[in-house]
Amino acid sequence: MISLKICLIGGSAVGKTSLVRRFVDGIFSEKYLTTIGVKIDKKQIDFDESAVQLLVWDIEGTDKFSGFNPRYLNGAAAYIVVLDQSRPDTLEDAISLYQQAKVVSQSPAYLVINKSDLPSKLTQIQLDSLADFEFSHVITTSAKAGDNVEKLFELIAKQASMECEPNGE
Amino acid sequence: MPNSDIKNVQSLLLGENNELITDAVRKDARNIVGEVVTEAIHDRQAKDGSLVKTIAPMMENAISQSIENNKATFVDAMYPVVGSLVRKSVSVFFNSFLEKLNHLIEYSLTLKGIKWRIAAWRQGVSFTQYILKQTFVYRVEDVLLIHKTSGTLLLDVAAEQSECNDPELTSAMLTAINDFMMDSFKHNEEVILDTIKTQELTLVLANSPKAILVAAVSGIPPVELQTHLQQTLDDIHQLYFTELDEFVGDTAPFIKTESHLRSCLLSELNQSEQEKKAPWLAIALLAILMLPLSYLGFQQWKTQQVVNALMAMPTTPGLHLESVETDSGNILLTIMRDPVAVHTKSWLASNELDLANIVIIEKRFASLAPEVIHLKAQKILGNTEFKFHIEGNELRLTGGNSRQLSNQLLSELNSIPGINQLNTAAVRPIRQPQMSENQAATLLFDQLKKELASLTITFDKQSADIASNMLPFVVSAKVHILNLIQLAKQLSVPIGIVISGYSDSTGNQAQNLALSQQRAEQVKLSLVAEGVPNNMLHAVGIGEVPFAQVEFEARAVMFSLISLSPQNQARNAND
Ligand SMILES: Nc1nc2c(ncn2[C@@H]2O[C@H](COP(=O)(O)OP(=O)(O)O)[C@@H](O)[C@H]2O)c(=O)[nH]1
Ligand SMILES: [Mg+2]
Repeated sequence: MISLKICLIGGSAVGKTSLVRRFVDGIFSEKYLTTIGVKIDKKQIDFDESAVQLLVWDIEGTDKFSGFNPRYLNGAAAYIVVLDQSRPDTLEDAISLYQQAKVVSQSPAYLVINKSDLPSKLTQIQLDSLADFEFSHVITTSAKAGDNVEKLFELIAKQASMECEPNGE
Repeated sequence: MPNSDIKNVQSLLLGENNELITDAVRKDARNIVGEVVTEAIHDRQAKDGSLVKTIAPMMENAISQSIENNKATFVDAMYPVVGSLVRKSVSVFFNSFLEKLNHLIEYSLTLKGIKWRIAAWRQGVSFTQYILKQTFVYRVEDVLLIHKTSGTLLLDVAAEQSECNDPELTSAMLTAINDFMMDSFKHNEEVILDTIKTQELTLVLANSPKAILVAAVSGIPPVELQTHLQQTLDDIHQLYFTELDEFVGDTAPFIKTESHLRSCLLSELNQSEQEKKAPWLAIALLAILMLPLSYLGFQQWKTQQVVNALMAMPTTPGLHLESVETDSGNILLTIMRDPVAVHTKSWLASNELDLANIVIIEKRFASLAPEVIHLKAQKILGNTEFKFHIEGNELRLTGGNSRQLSNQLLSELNSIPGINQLNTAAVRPIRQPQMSENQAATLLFDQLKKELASLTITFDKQSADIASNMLPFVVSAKVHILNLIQLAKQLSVPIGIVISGYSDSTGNQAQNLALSQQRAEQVKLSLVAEGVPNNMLHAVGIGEVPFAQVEFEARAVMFSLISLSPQNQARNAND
């Protein structure tokens, strides 16, 4: 079994939690979750021959001011930076968080442009500027309509599990 | 020598150009010093001890700098040595911290917390002391091995019937909590929580540089549990260091740690504490719950009535009541039953006993009661023209003719425990031209072989002694084997008998293997005592058989016949 840790960061209300949808209902009470600011959920991705299990860490309260506890990125196979295309200022948050994350993690970063069901307020210049950053993938999603969400996690699972093939060379 | 020459030499040796000579000396210095350096250091240290004083601060400096630069590497390398020391100081720090955390999260608001507080106050002890005084009744429900940096669950092992909460999520959450704690207490980097209380469970943690071992415990875990977890984790850490170090997501290599994890599935029921509590509990119950209690008493009385009735019941052939015990309203009835005897339930029902609270534990045995032997013969001969008469160990057949007397019939009769001899003198002989003597012998041989293979001698738990109720089976095995030897001689097929012993799968595996061997040996011994040639029998211990359904069937000895075909014989002879 391949089991991978994936982290979600991004400004508030961009839709991180909605992207994971299911809520954590493990043995930990709400008290713990709100205190430590992480929600974790599990997603199993089935491929033809194998299955990959993703443990998605939804890291709360991350924006360019407060930052986040960089330890949460420890051991992550990949991380996802989320922005909300209906609110252009969330792009700034995303870039700032991405730069902080890059310092502590060498894992591939995915940029998710969420709320594709709403009209985009991102300018062409803003979109072009994204090319300067080395995201493994930029993908547009709608957590509300479900567009591309499955695909996003499948893509991550596939790429990250290729990384951990025992004899990759 | 001219003066100028002397001057030249002087200047060469001491003057401006003395580098010529020092160079030459320096070239050799390394060799010269190298030859004596160890002795010189030794001598100087012996003389005034100044060497250590000079070098020690330099060494300390170098080491601390080196550690500073390669912290992780050093921690990994030193861990097995200093692990326990670090742990000690960490646990002291965290015990005091935890007390506060537990207090905040768990006990401050819950009813249980308030109750315990009141109890502690009334007894004049501190809250913590009070908790410690509580009974240590606990059970480890689940053991998780977690990769430290990613929080990935590497393996989890749950106790039987444990309603395990999602272990993957638990692992990840624990790591998240730990990350959070480490961020909040920046001053101590190598710190990790060692217990976390959740609503239903206490999570006891052991920590190593690459992995965390967690036990989810219901009840109150004892201090020793943490020690045991830590030792287990230290073992895992040492054995699987590379796998842990290089982990990127594939959990397969850690399946091998299962036995380590299993060793942590501990539990304890504190008997003395329960007994101590009992009178108080009884008094309280008596005072408050008069009615239910008298109902209980009535139930108990009813149970006793049933027990009495059971004991007074007339016995019936093939059934033997071994023991009657009561256990919280249930009656455990251990009974020995011959397969042909009346069913236990119908026997009870025919004596008008209520089966509701009776738990029947049946043990197989071969009854030697004349009625049972008669019944068995009746079963075999019921559809034939034969009549029979049993006297002692001998069964005499009358009526019918020899053609109806198949080998199958003969061997079935032969295998009735308690019958050692068949007398067919009174059977009317008919020549059987279609079958040669050899063919008949072969058929009988095969039949006996099959029957021998279906003979099973079962054993009590942890015992290799042949119980008296199994002796008829041993005798039956003897009769079969002696007949087989006879037939094999006639057919000139060399044979051997393998006696294989088995054990059930509870307890220690190595001991079980030894026990299974003893069982086989024991059966061999009694067969030899019965007159079977020693060199025909080969006793083999097979070990555990996981027959969970019928545990006692697994504690057994079975027989198999090996016959060597002529080719095999030749090959064996060459060996
Ligand atoms: N229209 C639309 N709304 C969304 C989408 N994703 C999330 N939302 C809404 O955005 C708000 C914030 O979402 P949430 O998942 O809590 O954001 P988080 O703070 O990043 O975890 C909620 O009201 C969601 O219903 C989306 O794809 N489309
Ligand atoms: Mg959220």
